Amino acid sequence: MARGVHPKKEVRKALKQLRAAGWTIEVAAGGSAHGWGTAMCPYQHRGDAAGMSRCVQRILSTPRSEGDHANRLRRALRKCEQDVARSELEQSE
Amino acid sequence: MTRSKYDFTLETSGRSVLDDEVFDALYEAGCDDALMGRFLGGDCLGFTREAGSYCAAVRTAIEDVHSVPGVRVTRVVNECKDADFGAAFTAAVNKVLTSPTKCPDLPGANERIELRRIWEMTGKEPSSSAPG
Repeated sequence: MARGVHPKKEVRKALKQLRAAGWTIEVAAGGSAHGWGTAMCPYQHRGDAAGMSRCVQRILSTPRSEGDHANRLRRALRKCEQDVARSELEQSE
Repeated sequence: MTRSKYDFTLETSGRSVLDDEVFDALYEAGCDDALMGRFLGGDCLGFTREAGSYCAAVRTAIEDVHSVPGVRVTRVVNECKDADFGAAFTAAVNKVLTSPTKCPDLPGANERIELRRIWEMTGKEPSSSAPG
């Protein structure tokens, strides 16, 4: 499997959806034994006391279930988009 | 016993789940069925966990997270499709996580047992030593 390509097909499909939505996918540099990479959203959400923050999700190399891991990534995408929509609605009011 | 998969998120505080050492420790503690990350500035682990009950799924997930020094669960968010399913248990767990002085009561025997186990867990002081 080429570097930069996730070994699990279902996870690859989910990452494709995240990329299409503007998320940045970075392959891990080797600091983690179980992390394949990181996905980061393109938005600045209201965050903690430190200010605005982007969604960050760490992608596992070998999740217990590739299907569940892929679904979780899609859920993270939906939550991100829902928060963006909510913020835009609040700003327009 | 029939096993099903349950969806929920654990919000955490302390050492960040984005830290490589913490991330690997959580995986090895059993959190390979979770997506770990950060949302709205807070760390969280989104689980799809197979267990005999929702209560057992949540309890074992909290056990796994708390086995990693420096990471504590601060809130449980129920993500089951039926909003009422597990609502009472989730609310009781969140009460225990925020103020563990007293263990709330619940109607079901299984829920009471699992809540009691979580309450006993939260009463223990977390280790401050680093893993490895």
